[in-house]
Amino acid sequence: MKITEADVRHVAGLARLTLGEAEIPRFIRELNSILDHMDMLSALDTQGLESTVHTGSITNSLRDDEARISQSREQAMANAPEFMNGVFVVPKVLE
Amino acid sequence: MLETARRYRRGETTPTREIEALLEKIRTDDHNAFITVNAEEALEQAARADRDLNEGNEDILLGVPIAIKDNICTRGLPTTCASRILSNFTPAYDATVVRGLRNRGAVIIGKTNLDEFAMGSTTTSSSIGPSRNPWDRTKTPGGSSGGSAAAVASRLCAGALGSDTGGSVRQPASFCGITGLKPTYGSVSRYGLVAFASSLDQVGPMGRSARDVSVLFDAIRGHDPRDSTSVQGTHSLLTLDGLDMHGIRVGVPKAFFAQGLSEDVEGAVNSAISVMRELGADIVPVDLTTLTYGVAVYYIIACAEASSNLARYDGVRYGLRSSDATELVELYSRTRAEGFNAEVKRRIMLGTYVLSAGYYEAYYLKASQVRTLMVQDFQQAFTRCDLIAGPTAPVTAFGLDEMLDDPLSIYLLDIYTIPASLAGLPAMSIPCGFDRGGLPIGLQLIAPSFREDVLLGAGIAFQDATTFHEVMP
Amino acid sequence: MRDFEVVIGLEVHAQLRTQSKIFCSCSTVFGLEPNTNTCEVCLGMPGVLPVLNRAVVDCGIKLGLATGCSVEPVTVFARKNYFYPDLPKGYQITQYDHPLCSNGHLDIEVGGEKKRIGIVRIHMEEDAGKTIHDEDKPLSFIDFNRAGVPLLEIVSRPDLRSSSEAVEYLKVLRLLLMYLEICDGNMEEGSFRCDANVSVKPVGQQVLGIRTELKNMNSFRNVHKALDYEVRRQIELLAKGDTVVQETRLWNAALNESQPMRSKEESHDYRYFPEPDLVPVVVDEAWIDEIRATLPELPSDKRARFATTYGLPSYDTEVLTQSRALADFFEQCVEILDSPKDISNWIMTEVLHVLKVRGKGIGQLGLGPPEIAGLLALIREGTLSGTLAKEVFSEMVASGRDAHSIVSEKGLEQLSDKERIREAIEVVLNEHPKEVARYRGGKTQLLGFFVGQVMKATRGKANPNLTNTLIREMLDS
Repeated sequence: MKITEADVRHVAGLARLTLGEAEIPRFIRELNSILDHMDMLSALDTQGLESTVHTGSITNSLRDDEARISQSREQAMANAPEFMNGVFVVPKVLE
Repeated sequence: MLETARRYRRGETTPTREIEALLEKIRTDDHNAFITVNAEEALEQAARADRDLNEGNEDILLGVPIAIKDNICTRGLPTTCASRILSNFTPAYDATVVRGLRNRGAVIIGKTNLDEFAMGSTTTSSSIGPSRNPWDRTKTPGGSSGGSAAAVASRLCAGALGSDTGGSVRQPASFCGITGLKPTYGSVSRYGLVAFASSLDQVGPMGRSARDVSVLFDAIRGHDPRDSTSVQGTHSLLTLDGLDMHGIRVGVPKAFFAQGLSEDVEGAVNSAISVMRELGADIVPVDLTTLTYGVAVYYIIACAEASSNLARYDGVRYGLRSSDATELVELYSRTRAEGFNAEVKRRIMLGTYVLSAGYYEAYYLKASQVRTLMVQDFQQAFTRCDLIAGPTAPVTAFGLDEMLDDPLSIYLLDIYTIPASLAGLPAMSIPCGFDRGGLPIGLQLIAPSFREDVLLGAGIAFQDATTFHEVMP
Repeated sequence: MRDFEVVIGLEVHAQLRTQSKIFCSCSTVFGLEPNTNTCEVCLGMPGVLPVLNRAVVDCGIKLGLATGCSVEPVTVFARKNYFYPDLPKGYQITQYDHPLCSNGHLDIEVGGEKKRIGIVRIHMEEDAGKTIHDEDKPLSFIDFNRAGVPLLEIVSRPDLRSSSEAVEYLKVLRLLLMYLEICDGNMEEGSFRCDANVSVKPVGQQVLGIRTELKNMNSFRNVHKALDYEVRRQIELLAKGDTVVQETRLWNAALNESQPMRSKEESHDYRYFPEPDLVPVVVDEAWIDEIRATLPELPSDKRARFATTYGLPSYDTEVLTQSRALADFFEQCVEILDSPKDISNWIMTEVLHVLKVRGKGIGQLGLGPPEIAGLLALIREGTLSGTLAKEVFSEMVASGRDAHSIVSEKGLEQLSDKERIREAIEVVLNEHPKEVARYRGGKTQLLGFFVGQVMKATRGKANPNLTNTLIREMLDS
């Protein structure tokens, strides 16, 4: 098995997902099965091969440095779950 | 679409009457194709189209009802991605493709159902429940653009926009007996398309015929300064004529007819290839040996990108926020646990894992390198042919109660659509027959980059010679 | 202390003075109402995409050239994934394995010794928003105005061996950024920020010690104190036989100590991968040449030139080149009045004093080089005494008027009429017969006393040299 319970918990922590206890064995099973399939790639020799991030060949998509009027604060906040006095509110952040 | 435009010009109906009738039809329709119906604004747009039409506006799209997949942003209209996490989200901006359609006078009739965040191929993993296949209500319409496909097939709109990351336009088009195009990566702006996998996502047009799809593609393609990956000025003109197939080399990869392909699909696709031969095409065998790696490569790259793209749903600036969190990490983790469905979580988990320390090289980097091999494989193939033909999906629409439990088995059904996505190539699904149960079968055509003209021309030629696309559910 | 060697590497974040943000067209203006400088892109709304601001690349190339870096022909962006409420997208767009510039250096001088500090890399990235913590309630507030403001991150090699070297490096780098006009260098507002990696090791040991990362030092003084504190802390630990824990520590300026960050970090697994929403940036020779042509004279070159051209001592060149504007001001003065050292002295004492008191830059003095040169010309030609010149200067600063008009209006011209000075001396000598007697008795030091009295009597207008000579003549006769 490639992925253990500890891995699943660690990854869920990185991804900020609270997992129910029932989800853990399911993730272990499913992720292992998927990763087993993916391991077919290890048979391929890719030494020195460029990786493909973009299939196009575009470069230098640049914008000129011009400032435009921003949207209104009301618009910025329109979908906010919690805000007051023009700022977004979250539970306290520990430094 | 062309049909609707013609009826307007002949005075058989008006945009307002057409839209009113459609809205009524949608109200009573039970395919669960729409998440949001844009009734009020659609009627306003129709009224404007009435006037413009009287003033002699010749635009084909004027007053034509178009449905938009609900992962494409629409100003002032909820855009939910069929996810709880965005169930109350209304963007203040239009996706560039939507703005383009509005500017042409098209009517945005509503937002269509999808698998949450376009992750799936059945339109079952939606916060509003599954859409149904117009050919058989007990079957899936395919996905993830299943709502758009069902809406087009059941004539609830003239055309629709979907999005295709690994087959999400082509496969539902195939399952619902319509035509769907995934354009070359970079030919249509992604601005306003809610990202699933940024290096693969493309907005694609869906319609009843290749000509309709061509009109819609022409309306949405083109450079967008807001999308760095969108390409400037390599596009050809609107394709409305069938391509003379004489001398066109159609490549048929053996790998497209492998284990797992249903007999009926194989038969229909072979007949379709025969039709092209009869139209004058040369049928040539080509190799696409890397095809078998497609699913592995795709799910590594797509999930990796998705895990990052979906990090913004944290309950801070918009969207769902869990009500029972007192501390920040808890707020994130609970919001995301409550907001995402099982499939989305699975992909975020997988994507996070393949990028994490110690696994990046073995998975993400490896997959990106194998992707290069697949790109090269296609380049090689296209030295010997002008088009590649094969099935869109190995099966036809399956029952909503026959859903596979094992995610890997479902992922493997994407085997034929994934390669063109990974290589960024334009690919299209067109109806080419029916299985023994009367369900539609799709033929997939793939062309070299930015040769949508060849793809659409061939599709039009095929449809001029066949009637599969005219059969109504 | 002597048995340990200190190893410091610095990561500086410099906010760029572009008009618009790095990936959207929002303005970069500081200090606006919270969340008014935002749009769907910098708020990370669904479906939006970044588009790179060309000026950010220009700034990066500029700094790269000025620090002797090589500029990468193809540079790409990457995503750094982590969750924080002021990071809108859940990832920061930055650069990872193909930074814009690499392998440069900065020269510093500490205690008269020159030292070359290596620069590993310079890369472009976006800033995050600001988190404000509530004092009373368990809440934090987020302002995204700063989110997407362009930054250059400048990473030094661990070549620094003391807090003084570190601070000197920062000063040199800050001055350079300001000369290049790509960063305003304001540390309090956070446009120039630094983090430090600190470790200590026994002298002679090759392997580096375990390092800590220090954050939250928003002034040179704090950098100094924080580094000294951290070095002392680490040495004490090692001396006790304990080990240093690899961690991030925040400097608390109020308590004068650093504390480990409380938040549980998921072991810093940032899952970097290439940013698929942006395409590679190809920087060709033509682009580099274009930027090279805009490079100003750099601080070190300017200092050297001031020393040779104007014969100024190194202290003067140091002070005068502390900003491009000040150096230009000096040179414009010299062009009008060819007395470099007098001008330098005047600028270093009077002008900089006024600016310091008012907390302003040379641009806001309200007086230009012609006015300053004009004032100094009056001193040189003997029209105005040095003492009165200061008074005139204050009046000039207050009113913005030129020296000439103030001098003639107030009748401050120096008194050089021998007869009138003699009259004044006579009065003084008559009033102080005892002192006169003592002087004549050999106590010649009293000369200064008589000069002072004459000055007092003439309200400072008497030409001092002339007064001196005349008093001596009159007493000795």
